[in-house]
Amino acid sequence: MKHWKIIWKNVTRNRKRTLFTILSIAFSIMLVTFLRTLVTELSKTNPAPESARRVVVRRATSLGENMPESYRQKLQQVPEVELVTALDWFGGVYQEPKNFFANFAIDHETLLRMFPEIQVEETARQAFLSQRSAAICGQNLARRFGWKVGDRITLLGSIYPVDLEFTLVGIYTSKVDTTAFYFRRDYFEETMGKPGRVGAFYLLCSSPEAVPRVIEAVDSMFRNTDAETLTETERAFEAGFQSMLGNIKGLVLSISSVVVFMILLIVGNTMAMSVRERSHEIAILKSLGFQNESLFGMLVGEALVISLLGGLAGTLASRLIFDLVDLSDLTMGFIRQFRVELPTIALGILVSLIVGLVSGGIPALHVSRLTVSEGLRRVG
Amino acid sequence: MAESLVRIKDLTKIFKRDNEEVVALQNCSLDIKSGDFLALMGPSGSGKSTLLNIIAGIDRATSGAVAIGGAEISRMTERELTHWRNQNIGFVFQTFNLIPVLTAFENVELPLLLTGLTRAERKDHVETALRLVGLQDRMKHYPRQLSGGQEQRVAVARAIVADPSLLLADEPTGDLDAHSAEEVMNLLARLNKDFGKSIVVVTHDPRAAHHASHIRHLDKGVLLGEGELPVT
Repeated sequence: MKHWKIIWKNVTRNRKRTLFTILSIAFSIMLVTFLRTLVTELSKTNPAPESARRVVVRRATSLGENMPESYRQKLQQVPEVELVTALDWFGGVYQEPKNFFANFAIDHETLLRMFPEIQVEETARQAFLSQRSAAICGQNLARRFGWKVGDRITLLGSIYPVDLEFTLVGIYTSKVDTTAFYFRRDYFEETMGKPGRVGAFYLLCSSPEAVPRVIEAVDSMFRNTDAETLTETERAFEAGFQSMLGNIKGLVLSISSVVVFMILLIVGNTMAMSVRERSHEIAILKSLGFQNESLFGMLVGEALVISLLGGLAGTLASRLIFDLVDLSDLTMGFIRQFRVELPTIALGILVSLIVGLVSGGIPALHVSRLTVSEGLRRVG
Repeated sequence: MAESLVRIKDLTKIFKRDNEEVVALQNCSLDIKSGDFLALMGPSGSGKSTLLNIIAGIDRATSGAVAIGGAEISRMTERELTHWRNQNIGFVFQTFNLIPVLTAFENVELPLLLTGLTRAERKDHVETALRLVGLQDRMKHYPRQLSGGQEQRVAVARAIVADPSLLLADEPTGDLDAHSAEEVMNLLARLNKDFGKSIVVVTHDPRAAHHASHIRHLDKGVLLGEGELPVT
């Protein structure tokens, strides 16, 4: 503890240089924590218990193709299937193309039973069941556009050649996602002239253990038909969208590695310069009786203090910024939640400490081994 | 009769520079008694600072024996020598060599950080040392806020704070004006006379050497006998 005063005095010796070094580390760690949180968020599974029992049935050839409505009855007869819900991706926009969000036509009678994580008031549930043009939306979505219950909302068709007008009858809350818009499928079907086609079916199985059997039964049932199916767990279905973005994890790891290496070089160079400038001083301390280990410890301590300050600033700033910025709004619902969690903060701090140790350790090792006479000959 | 504090026998120091050997000291033998104030004089390059550094344990002899206070320092490991230096040597450099980010108090306290003294005890020692050199009012000043003479007095305080058996000074007045130089030399003389400190001063200034009880000259690495002067 006696040497901490010397360490701190050296840290604050050249305040501008220290500040810029801390900021470099902070911004780099912010980037690393952002990337790691992004990967974590995209890998997150739906925490609702029912998610483990849900499977998605879609056209095997492409998600863009649909299946006959008649598949519903057959799916209802598959053993261990408790509930079937049909869903279509409408893909409409609100007022202009940039106002894009997830909007679905869905079976109104089974929506809330299939997705119990969607919490809506009883009056809203009743209205959704009774009014053909009723719609419900998530809390974040309503906040984004300033919608209130009772508002008339028109979605402009971008895939389908229709614009649909709705009455917002409820705003739902959920622990999973509150950026979606649901309206009645019968209203959509009627407007489209009853084509009798469905984009996807959600099935609720009797138990998680029944899922593999249901998947096999469904795909077997429709094998060698005109519209073969691909049935998968809800998690696998969602993961499929992420995989469209390519190998995100690999990309994030590469970028993070480059960032950390860059920071090592920057901080290493700064520390090396700082240590070199003080070779003479270090020799003085040695002449007074400071051992190599003490000197090494003080120099590394200095690097660790600077790195730690940068790491703390970077991780806490990223936590604060992403708590304040609504990324679901910015990414149009693709990223639903973005919270920098404690393990990620800990990782950021660990990375910064490693940077400090390596960037300070190497020059410190070299200088602390100088003899007094060699060090005194150096001009600081 | 005072006992020997420093015993140097047949000391030689050879520096290697770019494949060339430079003999800095040749077969030097020296006996310094406890309580002596010795001035080592000689022209530039005569080897006086080299001899002082070897006595301080800052440099090592190529051959020969160096014993200080009975301890054969020429046989110590680097680690032992560093510890021994903290306990036994006070060194005053020509260029003061204070740590610029530390106050006068903190600079003087440095040698004591390596002892087992408590914070209160260290404070007591430091204040005593600074009072002795007349700088008790400058404890919280940084080196940049002190004059050259004051900086050197802080350096002297740092050198004596751990009560070393031997005080070494390498051209302590080299960077000072005449008045400050006289102040510093008077201080060293007082430490020798009033406190019995054994002192070795390297200097080329005869006025500085005037305060010493013994003067020895070095000429081209050879330590001349007492009273002998280099051939000019």
